[in-house]
Amino acid sequence: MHIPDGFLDIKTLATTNLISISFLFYVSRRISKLILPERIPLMGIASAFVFTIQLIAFPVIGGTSVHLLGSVLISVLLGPGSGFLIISSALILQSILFQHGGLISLGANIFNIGIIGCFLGYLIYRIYPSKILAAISSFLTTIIGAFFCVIELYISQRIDFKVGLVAMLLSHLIIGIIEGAMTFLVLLAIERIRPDLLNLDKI
Amino acid sequence: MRRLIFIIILIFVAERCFSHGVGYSLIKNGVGIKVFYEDIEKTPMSYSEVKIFSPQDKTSEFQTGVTDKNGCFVFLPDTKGKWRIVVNDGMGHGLVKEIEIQDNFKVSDQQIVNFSLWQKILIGISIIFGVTGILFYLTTRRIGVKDAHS
Repeated sequence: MHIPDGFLDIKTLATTNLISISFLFYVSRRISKLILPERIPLMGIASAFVFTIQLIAFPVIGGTSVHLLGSVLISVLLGPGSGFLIISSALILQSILFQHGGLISLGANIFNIGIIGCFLGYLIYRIYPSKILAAISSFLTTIIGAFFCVIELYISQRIDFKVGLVAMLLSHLIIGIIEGAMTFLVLLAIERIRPDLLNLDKI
Repeated sequence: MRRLIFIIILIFVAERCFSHGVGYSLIKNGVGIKVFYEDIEKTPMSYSEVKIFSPQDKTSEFQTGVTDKNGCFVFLPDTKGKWRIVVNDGMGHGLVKEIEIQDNFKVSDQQIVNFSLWQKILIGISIIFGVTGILFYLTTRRIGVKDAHS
């Protein structure tokens, strides 16, 4: 789901970058006012976790590959704002260091993975906060993120809509299920080992 | 007379045949690219669309085609400079890479640098921990200064 540079047209790039930069600006300001120093190392560990799981990709049927996102899991633990900053910083780092996703198309990648994953994912989770709903939210936001990725590529005339949609949804259906299972299992493990981590302020 | 006409027709047909002949020569040079997904198995990006742009014309393709079963594509640059390669699998994955072609129409070895997955993870985690460490230090120091003043 990491769109490289040169794949999106100007209007899609401008729109997604504007939305993502606005979110980044607002969330950064809000979090810098609310954050406690003890929370920073925890966010660092969460960033390292997200960075790592997004780099490890798996081949799926159809000759493509997919990776986990971790957006909902991080948002459930630390809050959507913190989750969004963590996801964004991981995406920026991946883009600058390894060209894993383009630098100019960062806005689109932050939108698909960060905004949809963290904010929409957290909204779905808040309907009835539980491990099951966190898992369902992980699954849904993976699919929705992939759907937006298809729309952006289609608007930019990079893919055929039907072919791209079927390919992306099928591959992300598999990773959505794995993502949901991972969210559920990690939350279950935290509940048993460090239940205090589930009661952190959701900033 | 019949024999003469037959010989004339034969010569005419043979001449036509030669004029449509196709010659060939083997090319030993060329620049190749192997494209793969950066997953744990390095799955080849098979049959993906490839567009090559020359240094002179960055809008019209110099060459188009698809990668083979193993994700490989070879082209023959005719001038030195920065060549742009665009690969699109039509499923949301792709690559845009600029390569420098030298005077001998070959790519310099220095451009072929690939980190392994574990090297990438180690580099990323080191930077993240370094940055958060600095942020943590600065935040606690700021609070410490505030406490000392109050």
